[in-house]
Amino acid sequence: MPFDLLTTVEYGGCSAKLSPAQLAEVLKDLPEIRHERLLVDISTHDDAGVWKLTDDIALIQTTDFFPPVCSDPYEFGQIAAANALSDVYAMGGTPINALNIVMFPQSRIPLEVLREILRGGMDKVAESGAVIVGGHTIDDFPPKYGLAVTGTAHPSHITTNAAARPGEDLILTKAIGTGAIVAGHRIGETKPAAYRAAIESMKQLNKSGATVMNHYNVCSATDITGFSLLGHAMKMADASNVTIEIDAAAVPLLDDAYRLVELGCIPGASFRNQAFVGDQCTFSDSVDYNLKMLLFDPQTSGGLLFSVAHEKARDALAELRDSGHSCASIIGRVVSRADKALIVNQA
Amino acid sequence: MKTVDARGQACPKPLILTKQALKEMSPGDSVSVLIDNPVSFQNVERFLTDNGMSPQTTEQKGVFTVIVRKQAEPLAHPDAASYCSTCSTAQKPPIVVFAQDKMGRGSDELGKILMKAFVNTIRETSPLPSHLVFYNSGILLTVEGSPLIDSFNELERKGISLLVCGTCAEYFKKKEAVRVGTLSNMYSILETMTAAGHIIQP
Repeated sequence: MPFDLLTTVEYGGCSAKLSPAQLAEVLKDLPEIRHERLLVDISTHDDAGVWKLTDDIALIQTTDFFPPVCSDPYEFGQIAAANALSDVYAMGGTPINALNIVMFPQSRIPLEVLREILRGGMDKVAESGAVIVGGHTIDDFPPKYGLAVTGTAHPSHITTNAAARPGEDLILTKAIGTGAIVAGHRIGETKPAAYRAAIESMKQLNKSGATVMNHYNVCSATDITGFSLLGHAMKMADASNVTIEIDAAAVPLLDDAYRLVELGCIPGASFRNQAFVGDQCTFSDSVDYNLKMLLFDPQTSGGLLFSVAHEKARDALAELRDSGHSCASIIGRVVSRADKALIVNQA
Repeated sequence: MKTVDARGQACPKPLILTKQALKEMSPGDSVSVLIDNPVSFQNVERFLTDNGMSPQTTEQKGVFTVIVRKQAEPLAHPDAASYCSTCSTAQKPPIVVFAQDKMGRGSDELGKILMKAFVNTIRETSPLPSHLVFYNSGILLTVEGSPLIDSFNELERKGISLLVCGTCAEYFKKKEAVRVGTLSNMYSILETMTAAGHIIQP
């Protein structure tokens, strides 16, 4: 009987990340790192570290790994790899190589399962054009997989999360709701077609999204993962010293996600994200509660969120939709920094 | 007062059970929810306060009791269908329909070999289908003795649903011998075919 990876995470799967508040607490007392070659560092809580190697080459480095989010090991490998590669694309870069990071309980799970996880990771890295150059494995339970990725970009074409400008439009390239859908699948609630669509969305690289971003000279971007759309948008607003306005009704949702949240299938991490954003977000009265909790839904391998000049937004959107991002949408705009980092309306 | 025992339930089950209880209650009635997971308890408490209710909470020996009264006005019942997918161009996954147990016509022996190869190749395709539907002699692929049981189990583990026509299984006197998927009926099968992105038929 083939091994079901989801049986290793039956505790309820509240996302594996430390809460953003806890992380901030830990980091605040550590010395700040400054270096003339460090173009982007931890202070803006950006997606990756960026190191200027030469006048033409900046190295982008990032890492990501987590326990299983699906039953099938090959798909888990693909999703974990896509998720790790995503941070390079979020910086506007191109991945060049990666290291495997593996935790695997060899006495509890057959080794063939590990082979399938690695094969999934390898295939996804190959799809990005990069190469796996090594890795490290230790014995641990539950199993976890991911990558440490290196990418490159031109030093003056890095898309940080700190360059959003008032007047720009905000584009999101993938639909949200993977948290609710995966939680729902664990308890047998999620519709099979919706689950499959969510898995395919998680496997999708943000490669073509980054290509479109570079085509339209986008300066500011981030990718949406465990801290939710609002969590990552808040980081972008704070780093850029702007306010981000979002129209909740314009945010693309994965099919069945709303129905699941309405049932009460809200992942624990959604509440953690809500606590993290705290009073930094104003919600208008018209915002539906379930939709609000979806905006706090932790994403696995989510899309890119970037700001683009208003007059170019429609063209950028059309190009995204032509290149495999059928759910890409303009979800809001950047305005001058007001009292709060985020404003959410519902038209 | 109704009691909902959510002890031992993993997140987000306690919230789902609480919401379900509230839905079934009359306005003015109260419910008592037992939760032994501190994170789930916090989430349920947050959910209730966010929705305008005032839960009373106590804790004893690791078990939290949440007592809440349903408001006079019912919780807003938004039109869920309008949120179903704001992404109208989202790609719907395909389904595979097995109308017989062989692939193609001309040689039955070749048909069996091709069918085996077909099923074993499904896992390599992208996007994966959401459902596999079996009727008429197609159901024979799902019964005891079929060389494809393990392959179908693997696909089920990926979240793919297998629907096996119950009438057909009975006709072939194989109802007790079906080893994968669930027995289904014409309505579910037709509903699945109608909702599919596209239909693949080997």
